[in-house]
Amino acid sequence: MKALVVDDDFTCRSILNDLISTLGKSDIAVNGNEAVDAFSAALESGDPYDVIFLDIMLPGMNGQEVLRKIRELEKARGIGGLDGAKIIMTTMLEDFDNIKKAFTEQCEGYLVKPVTRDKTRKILKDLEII
Amino acid sequence: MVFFKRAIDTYIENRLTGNYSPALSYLRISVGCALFITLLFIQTSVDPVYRSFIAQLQVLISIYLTVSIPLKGFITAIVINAVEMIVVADIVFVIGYSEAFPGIILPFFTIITITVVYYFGRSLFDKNRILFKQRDELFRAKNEAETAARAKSDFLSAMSHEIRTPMNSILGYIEMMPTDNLTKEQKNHLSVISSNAHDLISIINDILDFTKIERDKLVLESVPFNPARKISLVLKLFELKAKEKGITVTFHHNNAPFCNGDPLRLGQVITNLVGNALKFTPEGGSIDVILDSKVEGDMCFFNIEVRDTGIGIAPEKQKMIFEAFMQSDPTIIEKYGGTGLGLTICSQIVNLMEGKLLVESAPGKGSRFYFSIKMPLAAISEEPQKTMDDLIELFPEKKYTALVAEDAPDSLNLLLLMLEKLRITADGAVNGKEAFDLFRKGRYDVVILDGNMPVMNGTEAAREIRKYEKEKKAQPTPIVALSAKVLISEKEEFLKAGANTFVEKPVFLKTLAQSIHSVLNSPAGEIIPSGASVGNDILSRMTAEIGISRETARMIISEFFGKSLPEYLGNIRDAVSRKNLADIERGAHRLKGAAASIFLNTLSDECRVLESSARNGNNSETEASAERVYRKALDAQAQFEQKV
Repeated sequence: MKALVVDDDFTCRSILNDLISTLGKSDIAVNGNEAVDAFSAALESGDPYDVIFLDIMLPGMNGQEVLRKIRELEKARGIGGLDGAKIIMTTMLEDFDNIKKAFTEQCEGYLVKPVTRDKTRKILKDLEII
Repeated sequence: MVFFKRAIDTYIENRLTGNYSPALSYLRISVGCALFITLLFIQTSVDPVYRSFIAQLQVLISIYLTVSIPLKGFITAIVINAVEMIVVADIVFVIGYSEAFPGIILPFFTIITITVVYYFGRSLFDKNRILFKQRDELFRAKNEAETAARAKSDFLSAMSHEIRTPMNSILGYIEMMPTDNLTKEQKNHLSVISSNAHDLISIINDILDFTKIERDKLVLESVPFNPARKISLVLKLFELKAKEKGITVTFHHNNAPFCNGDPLRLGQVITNLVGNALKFTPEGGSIDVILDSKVEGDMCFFNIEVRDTGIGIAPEKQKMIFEAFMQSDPTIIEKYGGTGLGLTICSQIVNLMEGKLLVESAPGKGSRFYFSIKMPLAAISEEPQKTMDDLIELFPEKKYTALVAEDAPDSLNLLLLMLEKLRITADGAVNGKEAFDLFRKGRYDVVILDGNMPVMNGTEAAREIRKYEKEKKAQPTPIVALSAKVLISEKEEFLKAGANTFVEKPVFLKTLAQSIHSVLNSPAGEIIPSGASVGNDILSRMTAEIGISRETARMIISEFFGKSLPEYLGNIRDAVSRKNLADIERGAHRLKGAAASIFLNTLSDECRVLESSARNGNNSETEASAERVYRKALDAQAQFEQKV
């Protein structure tokens, strides 16, 4: 499994990164632009990410925009439907409107902070990534 | 019909003789393309499910693009011919093909193609709709089943609570019973009552555990303990029973070190496994319990095993025994008793410990239950032990006064008796309101509050007491919270309301004494981790609840306090001074997420308030809220520094 963790907060991204490290390889991006760059670089190299953990409120380009950009990049390469990267929005519970919005932009799931190993494993299992 | 048949005959004849005109070829290609494009269009617009179909089509096209030109021609010919067949190209001949009218025929023909394909697509669409409907129904059925399962587990849980409360007072009173003046027979009766009561409460606890596991509510604790000592303590409980049955129980171990883990749950697994072994091993048999430990770095790896020479389990039944309410043979319940939950719970607990409970067995040859788990090494190597008399000595005659609130009269009396034994003068109240009234009138060294009470519950009472003390500028009185509910979130709520420590019901004299002693002897307002609580140690919680390693947790925490927190606070302060509400909102949001991630819940909550007041554009509210965030952040930092 190859994962990308996008979060501007050190605490949040370190926890996720550590949790994923036992399941596969994971990269980190600290803002929206970095995330899109990392995603398109991986796509170019032919080794795209299987799963992307995306925080919604990011400085600069926010999570929603990143999600849209990623789907556009995939579309341009003819990747769609079930073959795209699985995108999991990470969020606090009260950001539910944002989650709903993200679903219309085709994210696959969401993970409510505080992130724990059990929650992470469950969603990855639900999405059949692990 | 005759006309149609003649047309087909003509067409086939033309095909066989290779009598093709360029116009016809042109027509065939256009038909093929029209069909293909329409199909593509309909497929994509119908439903995302078809995207996988398109993807397959795309794969086919990409393969097609890579093949050599002659092969391409061949494939093209096949495809076009196939398409031509499908699209009843014969219709061309039905209307009578004429070289003179290709210009008229083409649009007409395209319309027919599109119509055909449209209806073809529609039928697919309808089929799809049926599938969707079926899927929705399945979802609904699944939800209903889940709701029913939940209702069942809620009911079990509620029932068990109802039974547990009276059981607690039965157990407590048995403990308090003076045995000095009893005849031998009476003592015997008492011990029968006691052992039956303990059996009953262990069954209730099984059911409660099971419902908790079903609802993902069971969380492992992380406290230092010695697994070998724990297991030998557990085995002591079986000594008598084993002797009665003439079974030898042997414990083999290689001096395991102190580890951080959940002694209660490990004990529960061993109790269940050994209990089963005893149950199913006939007289004269033997049971071996093996604990093999190996230290690697700061982790200790354990292989734990319970072996018996009992009746064994048939291979086809071995999987079933881990399922809820199943015993390998229903008649076993009649013969041996039990809820059929023991192994399910064991297996789930071992899963939580990241191991897997396995079984090896053959009928008549005995069974071997085994699992491997790991636990981080603990910093200590000895646990302090106090005897009951030592504990009573801790409370000098009539020096302390206590206020106890508990609604169940039996439980209240029991608590008052216990306090009397500890030489503490106590007043009783039957609800939170009464307790608060007494509290305002009297002067108490410690307040003991039950969680669940009518009129005003324990949490509210604690909150009221803290509020009152604040108004009076009085020193906070230590509060000990009691509850039969053992959910960590409820403990937290109690602690947040102002309680200093938490004692789980059934209340035992020793635990109560220890808890009262520790709250009386700690700085005012400090929270004392209860005997077996995850407590407020952030590191432990991060390892136990989030599931990350202790080193990572340590690194993350020091990074949070050293870097992130000052940075975020700086950002917020800066934004507040510039009155930039958007920046305040953003800063509060970041800190909220980070704080929640490491269980600094009060700080996170305060950030949430700040975030929403900034979003709502309330300037004065925002400033006040920002102040509170600073304060909470500093509190958290100070607490952290004290601990590390």
